[in-house]
Amino acid sequence: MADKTAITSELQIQRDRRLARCILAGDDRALREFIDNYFPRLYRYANLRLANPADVEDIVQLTLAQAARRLETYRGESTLLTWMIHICRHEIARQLKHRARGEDVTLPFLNDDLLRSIVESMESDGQLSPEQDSSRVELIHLIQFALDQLPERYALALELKYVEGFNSQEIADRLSISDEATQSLLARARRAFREVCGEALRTAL
Amino acid sequence: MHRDDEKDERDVARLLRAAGRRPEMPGAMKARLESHFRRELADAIARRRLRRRRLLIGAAASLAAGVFAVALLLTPPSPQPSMVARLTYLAGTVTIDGRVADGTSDLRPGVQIHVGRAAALAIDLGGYDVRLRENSRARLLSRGIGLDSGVLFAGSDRAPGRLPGLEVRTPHGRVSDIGTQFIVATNASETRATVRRGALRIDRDGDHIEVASEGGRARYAAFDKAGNVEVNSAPARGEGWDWIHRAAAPFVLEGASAFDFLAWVARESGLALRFASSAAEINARTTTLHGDLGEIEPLAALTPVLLSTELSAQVSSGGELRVSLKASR
Repeated sequence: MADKTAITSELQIQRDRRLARCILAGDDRALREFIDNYFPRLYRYANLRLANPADVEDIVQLTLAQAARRLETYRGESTLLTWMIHICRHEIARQLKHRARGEDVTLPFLNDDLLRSIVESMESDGQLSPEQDSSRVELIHLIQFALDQLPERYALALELKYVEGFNSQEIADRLSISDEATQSLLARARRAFREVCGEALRTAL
Repeated sequence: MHRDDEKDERDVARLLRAAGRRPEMPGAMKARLESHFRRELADAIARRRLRRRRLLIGAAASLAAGVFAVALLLTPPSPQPSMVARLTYLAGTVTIDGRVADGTSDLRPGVQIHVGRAAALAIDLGGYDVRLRENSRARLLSRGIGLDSGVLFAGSDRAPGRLPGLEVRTPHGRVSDIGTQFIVATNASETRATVRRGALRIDRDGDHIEVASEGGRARYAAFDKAGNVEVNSAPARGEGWDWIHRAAAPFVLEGASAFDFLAWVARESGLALRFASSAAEINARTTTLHGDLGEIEPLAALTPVLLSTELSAQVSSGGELRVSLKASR
């Protein structure tokens, strides 16, 4: 499994490297692809990390400005999304440093114990405590962020299947592929999703 | 479906259902960010192109410099510039490349010089005072002079190392000066190099010897083609040296300082000029002489010329011309 993940990641990196080269060469189709694929993901990451939604656009704009200036330095050491998230983290730390030290402007990721209790409570009909409700929001962001780490085709297939409730034939029609290919795509997407969520989610489950 | 796969799907489904759809990025925000990003990217690409152009220009310049440097390395070193020869004295019949020499004769490297009977020639060769005695044959070289037959004198007042070094080639070897005054005489059987100030280096058959003057005494080395070498002492003045002042322009006494006269006498005689006191040197530099030397030899001129001055001079056994004030004697 680890090998397959590594291969997937390597393929993604190759695609990203090519994409960056094309953007720098002035290829507008590559730029459109970059904007449509990476802007929303970066937005969701910032949304996940920042307590104040009003900061999100500013941070994303600063991150994208840095990305534009540094794109020629991207060598494919990681995926383009990871590279941009690294910039985003730095911008968050830099831009918010001047704010009051006591003010917590970022949200912590969940710890394993809390994660387990939240997952269990997410499906319960009972009233959540304020702490549980806050953690639930964090978990939702975490899952959405995990989806953003996947190739967009994987994420879309999973959302269509498990969030929208489409069957595999309906998904096949939407994605213009065969039913069999859809089954295969969903299986690969689930594996990739679990990999990306990592040990924390595995423990929670 | 396998049991594990079923659990896997159920777990993933639980999470995804709980999380719901990923939020869409607000369209207006996306448009604003896209516009901003496109501007930043266009600037970055423009800067990048400018840098690459500069890099290309720099690389081209470096390449050109590299090619130039390699060409320099591959080009054999250019020979040192030739010594410039200038005629300073001419007496009697001298031919240069078969033509009777005069003040306009071309003294380029390669010319053949023949100094006839009762003739003499003096040239400034790269700062060296080179004089050829009567009945001598020589040719100018780029770094010196080739003496085919006859006698030449060479000297310089400059300290060793201040001149590039004069080379005298004879049929028997090569004589190089090491800050010196010397005579080279060559005939069909041997070459004799005599040094009275400084030292000489003689190169022949891949070997070399050095001959240096000693305490006012001259030394000579005689060598032939057979490899025979004789080194011995020789007089530093007198016979063998007397001709050299006749092979140069005569000293013009009228209006010269006593210092210049004394320096000429010392130079022509192979002596080192020394003043007994700074007062004596100042006196020599401020005394103006009058008259005409005629055919008189330098050392012989000392007493009559200094008679009308406050200076006196003596030749020491160590090869010095010592000058002092008469009052201090």
